[in-house]
Amino acid sequence: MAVLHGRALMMGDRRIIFSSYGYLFFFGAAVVMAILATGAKVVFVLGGTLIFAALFHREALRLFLRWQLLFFILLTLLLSPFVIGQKDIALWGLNLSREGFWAGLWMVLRALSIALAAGVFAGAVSVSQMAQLFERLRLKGLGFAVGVATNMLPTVQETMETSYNAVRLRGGFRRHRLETLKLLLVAIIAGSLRRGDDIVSAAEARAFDPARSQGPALHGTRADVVLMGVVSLLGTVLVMM
Amino acid sequence: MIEIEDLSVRYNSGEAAVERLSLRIELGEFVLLTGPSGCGKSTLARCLNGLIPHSSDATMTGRVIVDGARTTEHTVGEMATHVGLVFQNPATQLFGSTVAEEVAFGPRNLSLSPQEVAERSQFALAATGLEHMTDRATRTLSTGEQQRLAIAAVLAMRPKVLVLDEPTSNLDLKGTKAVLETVDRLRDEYGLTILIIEHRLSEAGSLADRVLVMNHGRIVLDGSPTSVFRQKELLSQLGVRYPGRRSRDSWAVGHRKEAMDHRRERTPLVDLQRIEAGYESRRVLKDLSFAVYPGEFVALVGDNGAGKTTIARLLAGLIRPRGGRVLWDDTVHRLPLGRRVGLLFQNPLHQLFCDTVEEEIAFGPRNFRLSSEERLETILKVAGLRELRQRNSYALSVGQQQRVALASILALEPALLVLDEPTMGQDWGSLSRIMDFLVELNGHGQAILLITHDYKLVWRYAERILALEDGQVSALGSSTEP
Amino acid sequence: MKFSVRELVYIAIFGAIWGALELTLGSYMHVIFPPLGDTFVVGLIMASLGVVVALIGRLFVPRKGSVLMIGIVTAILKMVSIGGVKLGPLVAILAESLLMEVGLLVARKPMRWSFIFAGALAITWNFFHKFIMMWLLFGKEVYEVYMGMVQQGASMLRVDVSYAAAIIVLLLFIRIAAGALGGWAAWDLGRVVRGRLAR
Repeated sequence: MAVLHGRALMMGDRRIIFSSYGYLFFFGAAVVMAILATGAKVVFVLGGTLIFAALFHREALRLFLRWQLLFFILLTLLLSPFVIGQKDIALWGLNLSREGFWAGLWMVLRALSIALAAGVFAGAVSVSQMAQLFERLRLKGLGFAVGVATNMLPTVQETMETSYNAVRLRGGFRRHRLETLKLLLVAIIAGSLRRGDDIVSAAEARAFDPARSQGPALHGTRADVVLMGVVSLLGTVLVMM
Repeated sequence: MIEIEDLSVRYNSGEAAVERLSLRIELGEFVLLTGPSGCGKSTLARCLNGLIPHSSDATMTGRVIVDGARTTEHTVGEMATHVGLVFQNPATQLFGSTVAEEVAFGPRNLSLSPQEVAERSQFALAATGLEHMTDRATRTLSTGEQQRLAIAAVLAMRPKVLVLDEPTSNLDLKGTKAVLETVDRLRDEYGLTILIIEHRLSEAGSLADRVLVMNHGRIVLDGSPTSVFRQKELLSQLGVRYPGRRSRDSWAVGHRKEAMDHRRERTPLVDLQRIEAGYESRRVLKDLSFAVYPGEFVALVGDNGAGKTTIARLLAGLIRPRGGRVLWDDTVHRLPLGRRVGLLFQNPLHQLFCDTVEEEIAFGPRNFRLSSEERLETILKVAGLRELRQRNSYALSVGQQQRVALASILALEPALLVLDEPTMGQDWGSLSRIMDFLVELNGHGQAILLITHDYKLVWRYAERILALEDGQVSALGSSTEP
Repeated sequence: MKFSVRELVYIAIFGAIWGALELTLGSYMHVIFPPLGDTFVVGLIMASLGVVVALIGRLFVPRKGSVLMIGIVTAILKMVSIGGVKLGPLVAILAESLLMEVGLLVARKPMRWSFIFAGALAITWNFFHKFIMMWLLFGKEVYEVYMGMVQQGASMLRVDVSYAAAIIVLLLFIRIAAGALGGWAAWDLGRVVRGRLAR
C-alpha cells in the first residue's frame, strides 16, 4: 500500500511523486511535442523523455532491448539515405543523400520518444488507475469490468486451450477447418459466459452497484502541477524556437 | 443467529429447490451442510444473503432472518454486512487486480471513508493470514490463496455469519487444508458463525459442531458429526460420501511406498522412460519413468502443480518431452493423434461442441472417416445415452455431460483412455456412476489412466496407484491401516 | 453510459475472450491452417475473430457503447499481459472497437446488415493502421521511405509501379470482405451461443 512520507508518496522503498494524471499529461505532452518538433528539435524531446524515464520509471528503458523496434529503427536509418532527397555524397561506392540521413535520424528519434513515453505511462500507472482514468470519461463501471476481465483471463485462456486440444484430439482440424473453428469459438464463448451468473451473484453479494460504487480515488499531487507547468513551458519554447 | 421458518423456493422453470424447510443456527456454531447434487444446498445458501429472491428468477415463501435482518426487507448489499457468501470458484468472485484492491472492493461499495476501508482491509487480511501479500497480483496467487482472498474480501464487510458454498471443490489436499484452517480460526478467534457446504466430509466434518444432510429440498439428518456419520446406509442411499476415519493431507499417510516394478511378462502399452518435460523455462517432470500395460486400470495421484496434467498431455501427444522417450506398443505407435489416447478433461463443457448428443459422438469418427451407424449405436448403448441422443448436451446434468464427453472419445476406440480429474465438484453418487462405467469398460479390456487427487476414489477402484511428487513417480502399495 | 452489473460482467467476459484470442489463438494458427502459418491470411483471420467476438458481445449487451467498452477492456488487458507497451496492437483494438460502434449506429437495434457493415468498417482499419502508426511514430517522411522502397523494388523486378497500387487496393477490398464476413459470422454464431445458453 502507498504511504505518505513527508511530502512524497512511498511504496516500499520507491518514491512515487506523480499521480496517474501527471503521467498521463507527460505521455500526451511527449507525443504532441514529438509531432510538433521538427528536425533536430526532436533531440530535446527524446532527451527530456529519457531523463524523465531514468528518474521516475527506469523499467521503461528496457524498450531499448526490444529487437523488433531496434530492427525497424535500423532499417529506417539504412534506407533513408537511399530514398529521401538528392544523392550528394558517395560512401564505399554507394550514392547517398545527406538530407535522407538526417531525415532518417529525426524519424527514429521521434519514434523512440513516443515509444518511451508510452512505456513510462503504461508502467507507472496501474491497471485499476488506468480504468479509473477512463471512468472519468463517463465510462462508468469500466474499472469493475477490467477487474473481472483480469481475473477471468486465465480461466478463459484455460477454456480456450482445453477446448482447442479437445477438438484437435477428435480430429477437428483434419477436415472442415473453418467449420471446426466456428464450433470451437461457440464452445469457448458459451463456456465462458456460463460463469457470468456466478460473477454477478458474487458482485452483488459484495454490495456492488454500478450507479453508486466507486473505485480507488484518483488524486492529483502538487508535483503534477509543477510537472505540467514545466513541461508546458519547455514545450512552448521548443516549438517556438 | 440464523432463523429459517417454513422456507420454500421454486424456480420459474417449475422446479422446487427447497420445500418447507425450517432451521435454527446459533451464534458461533460451525455447521456442515451436505447432500447429493441438486438437493437445494446452494439454493439455501443464496436465500441466506438475499440473492434469492432479490437477484434470481426464483419465488420464495417463508421467513429467513440472519443476524436480526430479514432478507426480504433488505437489499443484497445491506445483507452483505450481516452475512458473507463465498462461492466455489475463486476466479468468478475476484474483482481487483491486487490483493489490496480485492479486499477494499466490498467496503468501498458501502461508501465508507478511506480510513475505514483501510482498517477493514487490514483486519480481513490479518484474519486470513494474507497481510504479507497486499501488493501481489491476484492472478499470481494459487487457487488456495485465491479462495482465502475471497474469504478475506467477504470478511472485510464485517459480517457475523460466513456461508461457504463448496469452497474446496477446486482445491487439492494442501489448499483444502489451508482454507479449512482459516475458516476454523475465524470461528475460534473472531466468533463467526459458519455454514459450510461440502462434499468432502472427512476434512470439514472434523471441524463441525453440527452436520445437516439435505435431500430433495428438505433436511433429512441433523445432528452431531458422530451421530450423522453413523448412518452409513442412509448416507450411501443419498449418494453422500461416507467420511474416512481421519482426514489426509498427504498421499503417503496410511500407505506404503513401493519400488516401481517393471518386471512384467506383458509388453507395456506405453512406456515412459526418463522423461523430462515442462513449459517455457519451468521443468515440471524430471527423470520420470513408468509404464501402463494393456487392460490396466492405473491411478496417478499428486497435488496441484505436481505435473499430472503435463503427463496427460504428453501421453496424448499434445506436447513433446524435452528429454527421454515415450514408447508405444507397435500396434498403437502408428495411430494418429487422438486415436492413441482418448483424453477426457476436467470440465465436460470444454469438450462438447455440437448441438445434440448424437452429433457429438459422431463428430470424431466423421473427422477420421470412421463414421458408421453401427459404431454410433454401439457407443450410445454402452454409454447409456440412447434416450438422450437428441438432447442438447448443455441442457444435461454435469454427470450426463461427462458421460457424453466420454462417449465421444470412446467412439474413436483409443488404445489408452486418460481421464484428467474427471470428478471435480461432483457428489459421490455421480462419481460412483462414472467410476462404475469405467470399471465396466476396463472389464472389456480398455486400458485406463485416472489422474486425480481424490484419494478415496483411487483406493476403491484402481488396481495400481502411482504417486507424483517433485516431478517423479513412485508406486503406492496397499494400505498400512487395519 | 450506464450499464447494469450483468451487462458489465458480460462486457468483461467478452473483453477477456478477445484478449485471450489475441494472446493464445495466434500460436495455434499454424496448426489449424498449416501452410498459411504466419501469413497475411492468418493475420486477417485473427483480426476478424476479434471483431466476431466483439459483435457477438453486442448481441448480449445490446446497448450503445458496449462494443467500445469491450475494446477498452481488451486493450487494457493486452497492455498488462504482454508485460510492456506495444502501441500498435493497442491502437488497433481501440480503433476497431470505435469503428464497430460507429458502424452499429446505422441501425436502431442489432441487425445482420448492421453487423456486416460494422465488421467491414472495423477491418478496414487494419489496412490503414500501418500507415497511421508509421506517421504517428516516424512522421510523414516515412511515406517517402516507403514509396522509395516500392519504386526501387519495382525497378529491380522490372514491374510497373501502378501494379503495386493495384495490389494495395486489392488488399483493401479483401479486408473489407473479411470484415463483412466476420460481421455475418458474428450474427449467426451469436444466435447459436444464445441458443446453447438458453437451454
